[in-house]
Amino acid sequence: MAKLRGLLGLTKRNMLVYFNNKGAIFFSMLTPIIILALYLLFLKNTFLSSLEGAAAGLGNLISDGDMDQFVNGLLLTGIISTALLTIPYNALEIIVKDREDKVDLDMISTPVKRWEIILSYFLAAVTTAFLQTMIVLSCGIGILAANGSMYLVATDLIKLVGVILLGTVSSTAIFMFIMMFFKNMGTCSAFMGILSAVSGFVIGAYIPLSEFNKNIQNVCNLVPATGISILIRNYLSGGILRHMDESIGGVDNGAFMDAMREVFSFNTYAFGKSWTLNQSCTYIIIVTVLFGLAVRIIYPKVYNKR
Amino acid sequence: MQNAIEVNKLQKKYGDMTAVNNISFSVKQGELFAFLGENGAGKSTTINMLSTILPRTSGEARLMGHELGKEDDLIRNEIGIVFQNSVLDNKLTVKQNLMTRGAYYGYSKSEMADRLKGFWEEFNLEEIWNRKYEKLSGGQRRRVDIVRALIHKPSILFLDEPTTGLDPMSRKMVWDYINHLRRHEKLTIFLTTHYMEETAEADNVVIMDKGNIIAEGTPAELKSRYTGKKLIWYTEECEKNKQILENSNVHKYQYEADHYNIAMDEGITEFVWKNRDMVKDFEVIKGTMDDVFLTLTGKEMVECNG
Repeated sequence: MAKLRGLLGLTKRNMLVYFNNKGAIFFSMLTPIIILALYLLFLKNTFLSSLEGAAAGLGNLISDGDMDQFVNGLLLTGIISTALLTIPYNALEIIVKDREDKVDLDMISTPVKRWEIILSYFLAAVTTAFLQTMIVLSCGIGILAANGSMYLVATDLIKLVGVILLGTVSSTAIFMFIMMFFKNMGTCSAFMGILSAVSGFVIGAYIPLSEFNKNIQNVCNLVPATGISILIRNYLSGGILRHMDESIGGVDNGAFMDAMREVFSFNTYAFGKSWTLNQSCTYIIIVTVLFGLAVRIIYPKVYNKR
Repeated sequence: MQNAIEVNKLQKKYGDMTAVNNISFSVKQGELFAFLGENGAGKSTTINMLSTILPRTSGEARLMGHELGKEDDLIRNEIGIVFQNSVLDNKLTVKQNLMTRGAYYGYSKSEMADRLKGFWEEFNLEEIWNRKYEKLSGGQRRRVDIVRALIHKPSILFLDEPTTGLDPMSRKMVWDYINHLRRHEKLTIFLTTHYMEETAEADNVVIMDKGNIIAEGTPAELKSRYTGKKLIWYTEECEKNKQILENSNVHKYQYEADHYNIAMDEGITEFVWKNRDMVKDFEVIKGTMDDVFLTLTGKEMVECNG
């Protein structure tokens, strides 16, 4: 236990620093807040009119409430998916800040191992992002539940939690790798600006990915965060989509559901091939492991150079 | 007395630039050892090498008998460092800062609470215990920095310019703590400073310039080796006195207001006795560490505003 105390102490310290910095928490939620604001202002109407247009030939088989909930599910997917990018990034900024302020020298001069320092940053960011995203998810599902049923089943919820955990681990590993190249907080903040601006588009929060041309779709679908958002969309809105399909009663042979899955990017397409959810999941895990290995190999060298 | 630190031909190079050039010295256990030099002289680089933060280019060093580079973990348990710039977290309270740092050394909560009891009264921790580090005054911060460096009861305390930027009262307070540690804890203290007067109480002084050791010894030895004495002769400015000075073994003299400033090494007592009828009053001033530094490097050190 005493041997683990160093790692746990470092992890606790990193988390305390993050949670005591209200500015960092606010900025980590800024993009999700912007998505919410845009949704309330016009995105919801845009999504709803596409949905109503597609359902026009089906008479009144699909209720307005179900359509509303389906679109709300898409919003929550966007919020969670961007949170899975911006929260780990903000939680990891401590690496650059510690280097800039030379706080890491204090750690290096103690008996804790260099790999423990690196792992502590990783564990703190994953824990922080997971907790914060789970709070957002719980609030989101709570609000949606008050509005009507999302037809979520227990397996969907368990899978959602699993995907959120995978998303936090994946984003943390990738951003830790990127952080190695940042020497100061100025560069770090500039990258955060780009990330905030781009993330909503890449994961299809503002406009469904199906609206982009094939080349852009290919690139976006190779980004693990996009895969994560597709997984979340499936597990969060899959239930209501199935319910709508049941409401139609098979008169369209599932054409409406297939069309919705295409339009609102429930499927992953990369280089002309459609990936199953399991294949997407495997791809994300492979990318995460590769970045994790790169971090494990390169970071200790960075600290040895200090 | 055994040596706490033994350094033999220690060198640090950054490409073609030599930051520390084959320096050798030793520090006895319980000694206050002052490392003197301008900014960029190589003081902090030496401390960083000895504290295992920075790998050395060549040379050997032993701290408390442990070999640098081979027994670094043992060395890390023997040393505490008060860094030039604080390395504690602004957003955390004093309690959070110290408790998390204690974990780096493998201490549990209760072990840390026991350890901190020893500092509670001496360092007045109670009044600042639950205050955020960023809300503390400069002197209070330094106090906490020192406690942080001592939480694992090290044998050697490195103080890297601990009073830089502090007001005179805080500087005095820091020195009171240092003196307390010397007297009661029998700590070996390795001090770097560019304030000359702070070296006066040191047992040994090493002066560095451009990565090289240019002088070492006790403050008294250095003063007698590298500076002369000055006689302040309160008398009138007249031809007779000028004649007396011209015919004595003075190096140079100058009249100011109501006295002659006379530089001479030998025969001050004889001079004053011989000319006792001409003197209203007199003072003999020994050279200062500033004079030592000026003689050795041709440069003046930063003025201490305390």
